[in-house]
Amino acid sequence: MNETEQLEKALESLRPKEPSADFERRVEEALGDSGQLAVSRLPELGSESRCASAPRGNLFSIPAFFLLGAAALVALFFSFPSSPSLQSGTGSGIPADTIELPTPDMAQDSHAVADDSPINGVSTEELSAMSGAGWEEPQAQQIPIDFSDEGIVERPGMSPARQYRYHYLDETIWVNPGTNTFIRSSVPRQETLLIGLEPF
Amino acid sequence: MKTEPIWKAWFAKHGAKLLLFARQQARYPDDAEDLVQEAFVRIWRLYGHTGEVSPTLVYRAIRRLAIDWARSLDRRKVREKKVYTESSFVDFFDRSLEKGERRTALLHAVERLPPEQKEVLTLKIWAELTFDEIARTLDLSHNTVASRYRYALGKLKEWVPPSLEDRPAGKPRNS
Repeated sequence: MNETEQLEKALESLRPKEPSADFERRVEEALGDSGQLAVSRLPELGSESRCASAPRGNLFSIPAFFLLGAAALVALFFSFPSSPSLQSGTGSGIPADTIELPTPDMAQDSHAVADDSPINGVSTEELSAMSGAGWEEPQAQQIPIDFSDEGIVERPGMSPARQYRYHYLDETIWVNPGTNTFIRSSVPRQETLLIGLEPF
Repeated sequence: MKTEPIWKAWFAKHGAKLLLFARQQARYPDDAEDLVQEAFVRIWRLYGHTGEVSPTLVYRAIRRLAIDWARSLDRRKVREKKVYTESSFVDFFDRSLEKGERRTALLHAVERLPPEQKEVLTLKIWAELTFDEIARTLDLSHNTVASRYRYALGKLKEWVPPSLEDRPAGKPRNS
């Protein structure tokens, strides 16, 4: 080791003073929401949903598709719980005899989904009968799917901002242990976060 | 699940080095923390979501802000409200680790260097930037940076001979 290398090594061994805790608190306050952005990337839905290199390319990967599809089915079911045309065939322009209405018996023969699934063969009467006593407090959870950086956006009369879009799945599960029944509702939701920028 | 913002780990790694550089760039030493805070927050808001921010960007922002603040009238008013304390380059280092006479002499020698050599030395030794990164940070050519670094080391070699023993400062030689 020559003299220059020895000198560099001696200089490197001198350590600058660490920032004080008070200073770090100030930085944390100044960062605000933007300090939390990097930890928000926590989808634990499996590493395969994050394989895309583009930041917004992995939102509608296979697991997310499956969840959103299930959510759409549940939403569709709740959208038409008491449609008179489906129950009795009256009240609409379509003749009742042209529609093969599913009956509870037919549904019980189906093995595609569970018999007590609310999306297959459970009539509104049955559903309302089940919705009485015996249901536990619903369990709600927010499942983060992904987030994307949508770049810098202009705001009229204000400084530009960086826009982030977060995608969540709000899932609620109602359970009735007495009838061994559960209902799950999954609703996709997105939030947009704007972080104001101060141009140099 | 327990999570921690990534910026904290980043700042734990680079904060002390940024502060050392800012103390040299600031016209008033007490402005150094404000400089680091302002530069870091601006850069992290732009790129922090990736969790991989190049320190060079923050060093460069610190330097530009220091220049802007030196010209700023508003900043002058803020400064007038502060009470400044005199501090030397030696004060910017952890004294508990400064055990040897040669190390103390080295720090005093670095303080004597011309500012343009001192900032290059700081970015090379403590910020661990490459000559190219230093050149971009300081808006200089690669050759200028390299020559300033060589001059700085040459002076340090001259001022702090290796024969100076690395023993506790202030202790007599023949005890």
